[in-house]
Amino acid sequence: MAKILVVDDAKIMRANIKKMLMELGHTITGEAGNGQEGIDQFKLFKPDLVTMDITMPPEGLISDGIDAVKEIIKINPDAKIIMVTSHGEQDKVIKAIQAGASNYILKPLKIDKLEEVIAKVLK
Amino acid sequence: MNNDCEILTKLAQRTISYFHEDLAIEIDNDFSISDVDKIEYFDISTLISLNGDMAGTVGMSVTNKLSHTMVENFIYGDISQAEIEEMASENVAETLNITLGNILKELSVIKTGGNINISTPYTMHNSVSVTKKKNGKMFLCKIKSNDEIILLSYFV
Repeated sequence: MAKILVVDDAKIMRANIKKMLMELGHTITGEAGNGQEGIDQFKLFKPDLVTMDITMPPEGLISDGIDAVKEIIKINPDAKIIMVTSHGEQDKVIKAIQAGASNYILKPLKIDKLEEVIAKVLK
Repeated sequence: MNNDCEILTKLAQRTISYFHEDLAIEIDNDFSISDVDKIEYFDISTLISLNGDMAGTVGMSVTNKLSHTMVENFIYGDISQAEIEEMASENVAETLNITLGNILKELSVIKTGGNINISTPYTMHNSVSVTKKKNGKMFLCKIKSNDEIILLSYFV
């Protein structure tokens, strides 16, 4: 089971993902409400996996989840990051994958789909 | 179908399927869209602005009671009453964000190569009203759910 960092500006999304991850037997190492906090927590906790919302309000030099992915990949090129996104954000998903994200999952989240994507990424 | 009614029609259809399939909340399959001069919103209302090849503001408004049911059914597993109340307004914002994001690619303007940018949601509490601008357009959609009404709106 993995140590996972959850990054999302919406507390309700973080709460939902955390409950699903814990049900799947994973450990939540931390949670962050913006990309910069996510980067800081990644350095601190060195999680096995990050779930990252694509669209978040800017914080410092980090304008969204894609910027956060770029910074995390600079810290650890092998970092495993799953983007959390809506259907209408395909262009952003492509940019995130190009930046180094491992995979993505669409909102609204389903626990079985989340389990499947995590298994693929951690394989 | 013009773009104004198209976005509201598709948003209403997606809202109905989202309530049925993702929240498991009772909701009517029928809805009505009308041209209005003023909208009286309910307890919690979220607005998202559109710009690019389609401009305007899309909104969703529900009562506190329905917003609480939405949180209970959105969150996986158990949730306390305090958490429900804390996350109710954010959940309405997230609901509109998800459903609007889901339908964007189905809009004619996108299918013909256009682009629409959506803002982060802006949420208002308590009943507020919005009046149509001079030469503006304003549409309101009502959907019945759990003996409550969901308001979806689009105005420019």
